[in-house]
Amino acid sequence: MAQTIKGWFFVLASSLLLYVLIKQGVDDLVDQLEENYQQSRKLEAVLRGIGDAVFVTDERKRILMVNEAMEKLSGFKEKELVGTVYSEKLCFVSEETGKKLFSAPRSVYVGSKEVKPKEPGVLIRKNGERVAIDGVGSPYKDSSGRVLGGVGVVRDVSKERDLDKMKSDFVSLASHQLRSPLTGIKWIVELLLESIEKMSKSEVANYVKKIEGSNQKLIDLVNDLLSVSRIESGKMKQAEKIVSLNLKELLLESIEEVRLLLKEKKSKIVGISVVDDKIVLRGDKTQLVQIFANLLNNAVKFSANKSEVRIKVNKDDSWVNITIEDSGVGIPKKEVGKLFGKFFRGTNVAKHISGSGLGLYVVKRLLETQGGKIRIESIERKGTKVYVGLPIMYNKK
Amino acid sequence: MDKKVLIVEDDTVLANALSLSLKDKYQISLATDGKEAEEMIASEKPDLILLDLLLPIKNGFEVLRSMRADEATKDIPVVILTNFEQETSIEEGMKMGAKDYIVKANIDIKDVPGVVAKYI
Repeated sequence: MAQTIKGWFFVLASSLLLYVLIKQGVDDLVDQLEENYQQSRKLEAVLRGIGDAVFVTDERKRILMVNEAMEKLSGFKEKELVGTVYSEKLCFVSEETGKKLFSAPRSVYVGSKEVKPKEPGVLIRKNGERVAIDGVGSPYKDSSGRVLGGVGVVRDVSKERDLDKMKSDFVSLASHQLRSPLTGIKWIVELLLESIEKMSKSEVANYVKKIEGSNQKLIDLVNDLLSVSRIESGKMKQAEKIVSLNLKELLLESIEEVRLLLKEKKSKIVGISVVDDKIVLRGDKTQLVQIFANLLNNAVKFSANKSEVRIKVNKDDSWVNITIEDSGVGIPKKEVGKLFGKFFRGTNVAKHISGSGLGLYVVKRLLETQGGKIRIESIERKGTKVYVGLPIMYNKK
Repeated sequence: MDKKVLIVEDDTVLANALSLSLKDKYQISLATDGKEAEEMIASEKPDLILLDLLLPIKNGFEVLRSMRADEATKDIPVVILTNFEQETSIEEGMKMGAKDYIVKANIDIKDVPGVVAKYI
């Protein structure tokens, strides 16, 4: 009997032990599964939340999942994409040739290598729009190295590409602008060398004056280009030497800068004598003189000989407003909006009055660096009014 | 001296140098913007046009296109003479039937009459 009881006890004990062991195993397994589930949920959440557009395919290039950024970039919803071979709807092509961008997806799936576009690419969105992209396609593998599928990471690079284009357009336009006066000097010098012995003194002087003019154009252009490059490299985001300045003295100094032109055109700047000589504002002196000299230079340059350019100043508690008014050629109405663009030249002046088309662009940007603003009203053949507003107490942010 | 050359050039110094280099052999007329060029091509029917591309009002390509569309002017030889130089612009210019595409900064003024003589 005791033997039997002992036997049952043994069975019970081992069953209990087995139960505990199994329970523990199952619990572990459940925990493990739960953990895996949480882990994969986490991964999915991370993937969805990533700013770059991501799509994941199986080994037959069929999309398994895409993230929100991919939906936004492509214009397709996840459910429209899942299950399709990725290239069916996600159309990546070369920006220039329109040919398929990833010509060798095989290298991802078969060669198990990463691929990157060899030239600038675009993604054609669901609505047909083209968006500039860059990205990379990579394989993902199991522990034995077998390729399970591919992951594509794509980024919208429209801004970067626009910037690149702007830069290269700028360089190309600037070089063209430099070439004209350089060609002028080259040709005039060649003509001079060829026939200087047969020329009268006044003819020679005439040629030399042309060289001087072209040379001045080059100097002005290079100065403007330097200002533009400083502005664009961010070195001029804020005015540097902010000091207290007397506005009247500032304007007189700016007028001094255009004295030669005034003499040449027998023109006058009026209104300066009645400017209140007690107005003081804070700003960067060199830049403010550059701004006003540029605006006064425009006003005189684009007006007839013997014209008057009028300066008016008024102020309230926080702003001082300076108006520069001329009776010159003005700006064609439909071009006023482009005035502050790089290399803008009014079509009514471009052919007979020299200039780089950079002046107002530089003026506007310089004014912005010290909290100022500018507005221009113009009527073609009647004249132009430039309003400059400057804060009296400019403080660096 | 009976052949007429139309110079289309908005830079006065360059236009002047070109006229000087050609005036002994040809009758020269000058247009300083694209619109003026179109009018002068139609009214004067020059024997050759030296055409700049970056011009006020209408650019050189527009001028070339409109003169090619007109039966009376479509066969006038055009030499593009410009400082604007891009692969696409050279290709486009030649495709539109320009005889030559010359970069101003790269040619000596004494060689300009030779270019004109070649195509007139």
